[in-house]
Amino acid sequence: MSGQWAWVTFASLVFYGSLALFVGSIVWRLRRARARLEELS
Amino acid sequence: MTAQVEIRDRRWPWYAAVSAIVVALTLSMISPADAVQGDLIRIMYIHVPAAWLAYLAFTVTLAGSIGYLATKRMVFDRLAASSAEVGVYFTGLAILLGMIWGKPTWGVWWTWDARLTLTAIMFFVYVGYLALRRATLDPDARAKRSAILGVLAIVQIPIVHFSVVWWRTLHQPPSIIRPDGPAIQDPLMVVALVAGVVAFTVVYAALVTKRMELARIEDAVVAREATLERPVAGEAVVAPDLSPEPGGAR
Repeated sequence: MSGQWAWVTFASLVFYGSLALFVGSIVWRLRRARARLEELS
Repeated sequence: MTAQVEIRDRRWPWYAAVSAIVVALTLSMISPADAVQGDLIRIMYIHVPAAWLAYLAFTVTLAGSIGYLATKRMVFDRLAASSAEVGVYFTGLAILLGMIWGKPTWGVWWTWDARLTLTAIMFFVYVGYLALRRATLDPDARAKRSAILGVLAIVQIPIVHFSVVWWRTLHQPPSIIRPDGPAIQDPLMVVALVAGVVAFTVVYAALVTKRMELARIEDAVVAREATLERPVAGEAVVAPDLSPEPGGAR
């Protein structure tokens, strides 16, 4: 059973890790775009 | 005060998404182990919602594409593109989580099963959709071309979904939506799965909301840059005056 929990933990890490990366990329691009817009105005 | 309210408004999608994920995670952990799969069933509580959200995201891309083609309003183009990007993320996630579940269950990370292969093709078609948008600079041409692809690509969803019914596959048939009723009998398992779908839908809404905000700002940046005064080609090239100054050093 502990082997199965290792796979569940691995899947959870993939999910949360990828979600954090995806959210981080959106936030980073948003900040960069806002800064560029400020620069142009 | 106004600025604070504005910030609060901007962050609500993230708060809602985190809350939904915490609830879904808790339910998936306290639900019982499956009689056949054991604790590996818990991976299904994130794999199945990810696959469903991919369907939803690409359906919203279809709606946005039709909306753009009918009205030529850029907000529909931004909706279609944002949803497609989030859909690609959920499709990739569903494939990865399926592989992690498949290795201990089937003994292989990947097999050329109809459902798996068609899902991979769908993933690459929508990656192509995003690449097409990056390859076209003119906003109107970009919106029109990607809207046409957004409409055509939707045909894959019923094929992917019913592939487990139409062909003999290693992937199991649908567990919830099936003619003879849901295959899952334990109410807590159903609640965990439904909570996962609801949580992922909230996460999807949050991601699309922020991605659309990003697309709107990026469009504003492009429009602002286009209005800036730029030198006409050749204007900046001025021949230097090489004639010797009268009385200058030789």
